[in-house]
Amino acid sequence: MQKRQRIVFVFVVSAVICLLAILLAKTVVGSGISSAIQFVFSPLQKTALHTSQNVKPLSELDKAKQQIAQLQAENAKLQVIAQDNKALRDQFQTTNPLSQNVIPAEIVGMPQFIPGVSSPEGFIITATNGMKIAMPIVYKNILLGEITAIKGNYAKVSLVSTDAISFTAKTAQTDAVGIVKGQGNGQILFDNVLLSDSLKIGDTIVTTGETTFEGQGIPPGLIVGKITSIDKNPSSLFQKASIQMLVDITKLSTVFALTQ
Amino acid sequence: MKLVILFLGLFISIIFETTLISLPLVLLWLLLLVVLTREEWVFIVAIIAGLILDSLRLSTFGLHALFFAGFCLLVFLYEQKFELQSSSFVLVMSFLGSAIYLLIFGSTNFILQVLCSSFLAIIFFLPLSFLYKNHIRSSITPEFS
Repeated sequence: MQKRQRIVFVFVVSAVICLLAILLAKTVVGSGISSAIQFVFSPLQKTALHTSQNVKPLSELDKAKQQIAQLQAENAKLQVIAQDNKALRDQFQTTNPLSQNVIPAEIVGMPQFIPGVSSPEGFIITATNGMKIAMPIVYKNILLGEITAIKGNYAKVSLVSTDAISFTAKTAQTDAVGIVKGQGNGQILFDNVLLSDSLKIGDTIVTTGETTFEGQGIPPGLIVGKITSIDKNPSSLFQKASIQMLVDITKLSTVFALTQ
Repeated sequence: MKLVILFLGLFISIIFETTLISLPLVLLWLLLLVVLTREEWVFIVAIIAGLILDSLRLSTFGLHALFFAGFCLLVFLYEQKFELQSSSFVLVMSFLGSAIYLLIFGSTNFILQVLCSSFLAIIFFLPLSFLYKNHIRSSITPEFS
């Protein structure tokens, strides 16, 4: 019985230490310990992540796909600019181009079920002063997700494909408005689109802008992805479409947080 | 040398679980530590590994540590009923531990991740059990009789 009593005693002491740690989590002591651990492990995490990203060199086909994705993103941006120009010329509406302040952040972790095969639900970035929860994270002008937690030197980003995120968006070509909803496992849905609106396969989805008076939130004009399939049932109230992101998140090492 | 391998495996699993793979690798290595060493200091290792995981995964500080300590206690409590250093025990405990872990901390493909975790536990256990062959004890120890 002695060994068993010893084990239970050690467990009780361990549990007390853990409960103390939980109580100290939100205090300066807890934050300080977390930050110190993050500071020590950050270089190792970045090395591991970058090594895994460079293990498989890009084939010619992958390079071509990257170029196509880049051109599609630029095309979508040009379509938005063309629409803005038309609106200004018609003088029916004005647009206030927002100057975006961006904070660069390195990705330190992107756990996936099967690296290189399954889609990540999010990633961890280095956090700096100025970053806040719900801040959008972008790569070039493509919306990747938003910050859902900040602790010490790290921030957690949830991708637009997770079921925790939804926002209004529209198509670049046909101006059909709907709601982008993450479905998990890399799936994104463009839902609640009126049956009378037109959806086209290959059309780009851009954000319509959901910002507060202080300028926080998701600004308009950010690219979400392109439509890959449409589900239109005349007996339903709305139609929906599946969206594919224009960037391979698993290949990214630096992203940007939009401050306003 | 044997302990160095176990600690190195634990360290690598911390890096991998927070950077590349969303499987409970640290939990599996802690299970192997308990099964192969059967020493009480594994609780300290579990707490430290849990605190590191909490800091790097941005979860509540101390939560992983508490879970790992509880899991180690569970494995120790079964010491008197089962032969610890057997593949079947490792398979069952890794399955149960992974399932509870993924239920608490979230998962994307629950069944597949649990099955993969159990499979990985056996893959890690088999070569390490050969190294620890000299430390195999009988299923009923004198202290519990």
